[in-house]
Amino acid sequence: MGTEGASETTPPEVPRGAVPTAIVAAQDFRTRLLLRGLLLTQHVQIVGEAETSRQCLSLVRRARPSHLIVHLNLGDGTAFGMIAEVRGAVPGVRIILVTPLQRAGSLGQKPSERPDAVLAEPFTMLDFSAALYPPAEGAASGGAAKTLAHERQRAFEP
Amino acid sequence: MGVALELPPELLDFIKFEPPQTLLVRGPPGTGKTMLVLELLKSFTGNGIYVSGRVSVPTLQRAFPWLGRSELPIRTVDSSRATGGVQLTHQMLQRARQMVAGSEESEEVRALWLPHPLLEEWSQITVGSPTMMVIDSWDALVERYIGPADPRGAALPDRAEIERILIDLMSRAPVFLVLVAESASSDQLDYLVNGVVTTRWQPVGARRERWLALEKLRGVRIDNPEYPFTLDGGRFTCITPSPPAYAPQPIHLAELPTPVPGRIWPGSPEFFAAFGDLPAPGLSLFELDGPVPYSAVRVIHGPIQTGVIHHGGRVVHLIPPGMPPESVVDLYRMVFSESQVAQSVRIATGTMPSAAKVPDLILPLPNPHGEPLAPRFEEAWRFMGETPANGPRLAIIWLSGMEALAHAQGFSYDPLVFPALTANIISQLGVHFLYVGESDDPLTRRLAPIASRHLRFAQRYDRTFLEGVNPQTPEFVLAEGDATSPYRLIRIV
Repeated sequence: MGTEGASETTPPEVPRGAVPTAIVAAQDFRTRLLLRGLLLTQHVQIVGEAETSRQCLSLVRRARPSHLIVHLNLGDGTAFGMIAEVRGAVPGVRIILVTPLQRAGSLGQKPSERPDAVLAEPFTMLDFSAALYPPAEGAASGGAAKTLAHERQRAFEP
Repeated sequence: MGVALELPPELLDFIKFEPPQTLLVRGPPGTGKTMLVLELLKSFTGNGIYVSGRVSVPTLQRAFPWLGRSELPIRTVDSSRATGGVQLTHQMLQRARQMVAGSEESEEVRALWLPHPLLEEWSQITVGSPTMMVIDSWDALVERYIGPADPRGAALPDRAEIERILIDLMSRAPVFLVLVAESASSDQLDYLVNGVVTTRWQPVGARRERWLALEKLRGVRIDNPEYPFTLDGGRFTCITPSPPAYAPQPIHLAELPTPVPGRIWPGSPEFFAAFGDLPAPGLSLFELDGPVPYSAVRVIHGPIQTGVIHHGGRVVHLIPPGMPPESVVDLYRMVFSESQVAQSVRIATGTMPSAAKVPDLILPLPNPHGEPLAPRFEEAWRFMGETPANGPRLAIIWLSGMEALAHAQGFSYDPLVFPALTANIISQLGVHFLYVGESDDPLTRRLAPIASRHLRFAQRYDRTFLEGVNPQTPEFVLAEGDATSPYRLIRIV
C-alpha cells in the first residue's frame, strides 16, 4: 500500500497508451489511500499525492494531470481556495471534489472556483465513475473516451 | 526427433489464447521457474509486466540484461520492498464504509484488498492491449502482505480470499496472469487457474536434471506431459521426445555453423574439444547404458567417419545383428560420390542388404557354412592397410555384432585378453578403434580403462542423453539442429 506521507510517484518506464492521470489530495492519509485505490480500479494512473493545497498546486504544475481528485479537507484549509489556481496552471484539468458535506458543491461563488464534479459522501461507485468520465465528454471527443469509460464500468458488472 | 525448443509446444499454444488467462508455475526454489516465466514473457504477443516479489529490479537486470532493453515491451516492477500490509488496507477500508455507499458489496472496493503494486499495474492495462503479468514470486508477495495473524482478531482476509480477489480482478481485463509459487500444491489456487505447470529436480545417478511437468492447460491437448530442460546460455530450453529412429542426415564439414555456447554440433571442433580428439591410432568407447537407438549412436559417430573419408582415410564397420547395411552406407552417399565410398568404406555384417545396392562394400560375416572368420577379418585389415599414405583409419565395431559372429563360430572372446588383443591390432595397423558396447557387457567394462575417449549414452524418457566419462563432461541431450548440421547436443545445466 502507498506511503503515509504525501509523495510523487515515479512515472511508468514503458508508455502504454493514453491512460488518464490523476493527483489525489486529502489531509487524511486513509482517505488518500482509499481515493487512490478507487482510482486504480477505474484504470487511472496516479501521478502524485498531496496533503495540503500548497503541495497539490506544486504537483499539479509539475505533473499536469488530466484529473485532480481533491477532498474538501486539506492540511492548510479547504480545497476551494486553490481550484482557480489549479485551473490557471493546467487548463482543462478535470477537478472532482469529494466532500462530507451534502451541499459543498454550491459553496464556490465564481465559476472558476467550482469543481467539475462533486461527490458527497457516501457516494456510489457508479457516481465515482461518472464523475471521472462524464458520458458527454466521451461523445464530444469522438467516442474513444466514452468507449473506455463504458469498458471500465462494465469491468465490474457481474 | 528430439527438438530443442524454448518452450514446449503445448505451452506455446496456451499462451496464444486470448486473455484473460491464468497460469500457475510451481516448483521448489532453484528449479528454473524464473527462467521459464521470463521465456513466457518473451514469447507472449503483447505487453509484459514482471512483478518481482523477491529481488530488486537492478539485481534482476544484472542477471538478465535483456530485461532492461528499452525495445522490449516488458516492464519490471519491484515489489520486493513494498510497504504497507493487509492491516493498513483494513484501516483504509474502514474509511470506505463512510465514503462509499454499499462498499461491502462493491466489487471495486473488494479489489482494494489486493497488494497495492498489483492494483497499480492492473489499472494501467487498457482495452485492446493484452498484457502478460508475471508475479514472481506470489508466495513472497502475498505472505509479506498478509503478515502474521492480527492478535486483536480483526476480520482480515486470508491468503485464499486474496487469491480469489486477484483471479477475479485479473479476469476483468485483458491480462494473462502468471503466478510463480514455491509452496506445495494449493487445491484452491490450482482449481482457480486455467493452467498449472511444475518444475522439479529429477535425480539421475549422482546428478540431477531439471524437468517441467504440464499438469493442466485448459483447452490444450497435452501430447507430452513432461519435458527435461536446461538453463544453459541463460535461457530456458526444453527438449521434446526423440523419434523411434534418427534419420540419416548429411554432414558437410566445411559448412559447420557458428558455435553457440552450450550447443555442440557433432563433428565440429567444439565436439572434439569437449569429448576428446580422435587420435590415430587409438581407442574410443561408446558405452550404451540401456537400449539406445542405433540411429542415435550413428548421429554421433557419423560426422567422425565422414571426417575420416574427408581426409582421405578409410573406415571399416562391424555392425550389430539387425542393423541394415544400407543405413550405414546411406550417410556416406549423401556426402561422397559412389567411387569415393567404394574406395573408402567396408561393412562387415551377417545381415545382407535387402536390395543389391551395396554388395561391393560388404564383407559378409559369418559364413553360414562354417567358413572360419579369420580370412574375412584378414580381408578387412588388408583393406585398412591399403589406406593411402597419411590417411586416417577408423574401425567402428559394435561389440554385439562381433560377439554374435564369434558365437556363430562356436567361440567367445575372453574379456581378460581382449584389451591386449585390441592394443596389438592398433599398434600393427595404426588404426583407431571405435567400439560400441553395452554397459553390462564384460568386454565393454574391460575396454573402459584403456579407452582414450569414453562416451556414455543413455535413453531416458524417450530422449537420448550423452556424457563424456573420459574426458569428463557435463551431460548433453541429443536434439534437432539446423540445415547445416541436423543434430546438436544441448548441455544440461
